[in-house]
Amino acid sequence: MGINNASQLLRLILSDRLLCFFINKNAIIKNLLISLIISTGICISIFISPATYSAQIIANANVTVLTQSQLRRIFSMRQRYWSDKQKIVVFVLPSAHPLHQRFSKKDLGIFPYKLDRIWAKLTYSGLGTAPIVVQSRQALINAVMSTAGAIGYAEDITEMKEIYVITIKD
Amino acid sequence: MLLQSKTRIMLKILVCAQLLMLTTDLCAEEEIDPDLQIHGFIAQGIVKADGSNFVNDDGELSIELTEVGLNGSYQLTSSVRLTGQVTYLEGGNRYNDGIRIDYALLDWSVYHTDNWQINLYAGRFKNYHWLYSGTRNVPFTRPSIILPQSMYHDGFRDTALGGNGGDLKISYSSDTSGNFDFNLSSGAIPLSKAQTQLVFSELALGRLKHLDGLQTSLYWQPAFSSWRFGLAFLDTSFEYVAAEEGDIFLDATLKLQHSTVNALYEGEKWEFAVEAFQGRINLKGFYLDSYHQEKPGQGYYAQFRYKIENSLTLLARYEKYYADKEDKNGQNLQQTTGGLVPSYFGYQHDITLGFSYDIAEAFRLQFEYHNFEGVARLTPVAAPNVALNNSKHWNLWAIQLMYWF
Repeated sequence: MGINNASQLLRLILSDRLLCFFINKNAIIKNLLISLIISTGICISIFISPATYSAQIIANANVTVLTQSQLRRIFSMRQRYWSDKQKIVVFVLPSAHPLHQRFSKKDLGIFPYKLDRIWAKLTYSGLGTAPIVVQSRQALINAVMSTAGAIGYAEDITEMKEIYVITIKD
Repeated sequence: MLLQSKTRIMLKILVCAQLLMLTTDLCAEEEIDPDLQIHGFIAQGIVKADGSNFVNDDGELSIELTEVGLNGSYQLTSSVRLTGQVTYLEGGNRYNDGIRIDYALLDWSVYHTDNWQINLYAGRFKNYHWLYSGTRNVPFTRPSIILPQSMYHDGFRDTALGGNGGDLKISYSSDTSGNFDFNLSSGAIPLSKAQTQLVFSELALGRLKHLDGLQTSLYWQPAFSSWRFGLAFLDTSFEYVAAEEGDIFLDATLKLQHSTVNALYEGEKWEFAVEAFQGRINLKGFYLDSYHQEKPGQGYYAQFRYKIENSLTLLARYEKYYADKEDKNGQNLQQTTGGLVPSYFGYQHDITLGFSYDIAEAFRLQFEYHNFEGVARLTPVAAPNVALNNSKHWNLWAIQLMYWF
């Protein structure tokens, strides 16, 4: 009896441990599977989704695609003409405007104060001209729409007849 | 004297008011003309130099720290632009007061592609070759109110500012090797009698003429980098034509050569700039027909700036300058002048601390304190006042309020 009881108890303990093991094993496998799915999702979203930009680049010129380097050259006034020889007219918002700050840092990869310095050096030394500063997002869109060869930036704009929303290639 | 000072203050207020009205008018203008741009700046400060006549002879607090400018640019055709800037400056003993044409240029965009931009500028151009020379008289573009005197000696400010002639600028931008900027300028600047005396003292009754000046520079910014590196070279010559009567000085020739290297780092919070030069001054005549002096000067500065926040920037700078690099402690200068000129006239070292605070957009307050050792960068350049500068150590503080549009 004693032996039987003992063997039953042992079986019970073993089965409990086994059960726990299986329960834990399932949990571990489940957690591993969840982690794997999440990390795969993150990886897929990183590698597959297109680069995100904080602003939309708009232009009143016969151009639909620019590289980020071209964008940097245009806004730092190193490229002053479009490929068809038309003069580029750059419009921007005031330096402290949140959209300008985001555009400068994220889309151009240039700190806003550096842009200010580049433009001030051109303007006050005679070497060139600075972008034209307008006071609001709507004024910027209007200025680009009404100026041949113009480029600027906006948010949440749909393509219009007078304006191109430019795709930026990395 | 008091009346003159009051008139001057009234005039300054009037000019400032006029410029502010112009700004308001420009801002109120709704129609945008992309071919026309008008900009300007106004700055007024107070400055005090203890122990030297760098600013004034009496060492008292001075309001001679005024800088006003107005510029315009008009695009005549798609490749030709007309531009100019007029400034009014007051700097005490540092440079001559008054209105001057800062630059007046016809800018021709000769060649341009996505990567290349070549421009020819004709007229009065500026010195575009050093880190801050292109806009040294535009207060908000400078790191400090008083620029490092080893490189940006105020006594030679007018002669180093630019010239009448031409400038060629070639810019190349590459996605892999970065941005290159090459500049070559040639020309001379007409100098007034007052500017002559700023260099040679009031005893000089003749006239200093700038004969020619050739300057060139090359800058490189690696692709997507916060660093920029530059090299510059200057070769310029002057002639002093003595007055026919009463001039104690004789006809002379003065040649200057100046080689510069610089590096600039502009990070999100930190900035670092270093600029070093080696120059040669060659003077023939002036004191005696047979007089010939050649001095190899040397100087450098290292400058740090830190942005605590977008509106507040701290400044620290360390600077060394030797009028003659083979006589760094000035002992030879003292001996050859029989003790009349103390040794500390042979060098000028400076430690600067300061800050700038942006009160609002385009409205800034700047403050700085300088601790100097030596007085080799005072005016008159050739004959500084030994009696007024009887102290080896001296200091300066300045505060300036500036607005631009």
